[in-house]
Amino acid sequence: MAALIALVLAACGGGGGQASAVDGGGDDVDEGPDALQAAVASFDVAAGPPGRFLVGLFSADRRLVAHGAVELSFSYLGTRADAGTTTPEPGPVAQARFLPLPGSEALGAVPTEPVFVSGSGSRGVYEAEVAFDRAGFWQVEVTAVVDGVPRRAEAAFEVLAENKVPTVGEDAPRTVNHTVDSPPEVPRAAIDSRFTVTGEVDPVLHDRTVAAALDAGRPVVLVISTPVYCRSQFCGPVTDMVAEVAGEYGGAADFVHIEVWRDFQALEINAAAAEWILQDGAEGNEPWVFVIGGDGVIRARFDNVVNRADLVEALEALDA
Amino acid sequence: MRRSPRARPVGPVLAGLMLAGLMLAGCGDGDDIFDDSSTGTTEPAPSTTGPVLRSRTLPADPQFAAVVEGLCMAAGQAGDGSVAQARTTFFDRSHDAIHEVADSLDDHERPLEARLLETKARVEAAFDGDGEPAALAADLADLADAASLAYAAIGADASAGLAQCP
Repeated sequence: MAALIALVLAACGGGGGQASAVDGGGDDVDEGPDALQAAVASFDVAAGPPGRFLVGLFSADRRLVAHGAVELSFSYLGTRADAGTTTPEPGPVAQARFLPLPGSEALGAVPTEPVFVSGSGSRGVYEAEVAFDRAGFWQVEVTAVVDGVPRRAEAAFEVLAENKVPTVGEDAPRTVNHTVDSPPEVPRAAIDSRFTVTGEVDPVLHDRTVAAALDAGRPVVLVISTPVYCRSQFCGPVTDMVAEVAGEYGGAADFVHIEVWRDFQALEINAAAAEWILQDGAEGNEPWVFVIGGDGVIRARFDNVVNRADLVEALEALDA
Repeated sequence: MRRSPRARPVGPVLAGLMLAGLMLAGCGDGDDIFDDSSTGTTEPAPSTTGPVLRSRTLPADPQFAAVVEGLCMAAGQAGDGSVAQARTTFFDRSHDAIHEVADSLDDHERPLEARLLETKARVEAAFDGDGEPAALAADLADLADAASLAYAAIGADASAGLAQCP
């Protein structure tokens, strides 16, 4: 277990809330290519009221697990000082449902139980509502029947004392982000990295700043992502989904995309993105989607994977 | 985005396990240099002078070669007009691994990483938007070359997979 904690600390520059997919303790119940592996897919997990918890499942030979539901059992491992040396303390148990990545939803009959899928099949993570009562290192044990066979996997992760990324109930930063009207010295790819593919910046999501929208008293749906330079492979589909929702709900809110990279090759991050995902020791994870009320208060936030239904629900709740 | 020092995969099994986890994580790093438009105080990272030269002494790795081979197979299918089949081949055999190898590249290999991810994005856009098959085939072949170079940069020889490229 100490090895697993070390991997958590190493995975994100030493300070993050991500988990390792490699179980250094060798606790998986089965071996071979179908051995189940787990990786925490949540960002910025903090102690406090219930919040979204995401976990990805895959086989030893890198096939994803999709559909159905799995059980998550959490244990408290300790603090940075004593984690790995104390007996794990049982914590909450939750059922996690499959959350497909936008655009990868299965067509036709959908399996009701988890199955291993190929890369061209449904892809996503498992989502649950979980409350952590203290900061420190935790472990999630995933129990799932995959392809009819009971399987188990574990992953460790850190729960922070406080969120480092702006969260629900807080005032949204009044960000002056790049738009299609930014001066020529702003690289077009710094407005949207998809410029490197299409040779143009789509005005949808790029025609206004967060600050201007909030100054006008308009609600904002904000997606922070780098569709082209994405490491997690979720950024492009999530950004595309937000653009689709903008086409239907543009009357209800302003929709804004902030590109992460000012210059990817030079390792320069846009200040507008840093204002949200790199303050107070936050690690710069993305994608993020925020729903901000017309009063400037964050009403919902979604890390990594969010589907259209959940985003629309959050949007419609603004009118409630 | 994640900028901490990364251990290079030392073998196919370990590489697969580590990379699959990183695929989901999308980690970041607070040490990134970020743009300050008001003061212009950015400091660019060191740049390479060109693609990483492939060592002739690298051991061949069938797992990584299979990823490159998948790209070449998809290129051939696209060139034959079988775009749907090419899409399945791409996503089943190579797509996830490209994210993984990109994440494994060091900071001084940024131009190669950019080429890898930008070419991948072109391929994906073509699949999403019914791209012209010949152009798609060319992009897939380019992606195969970039992926082969990327694997060489992390210490694996995937060039055997290029034998399938049209």
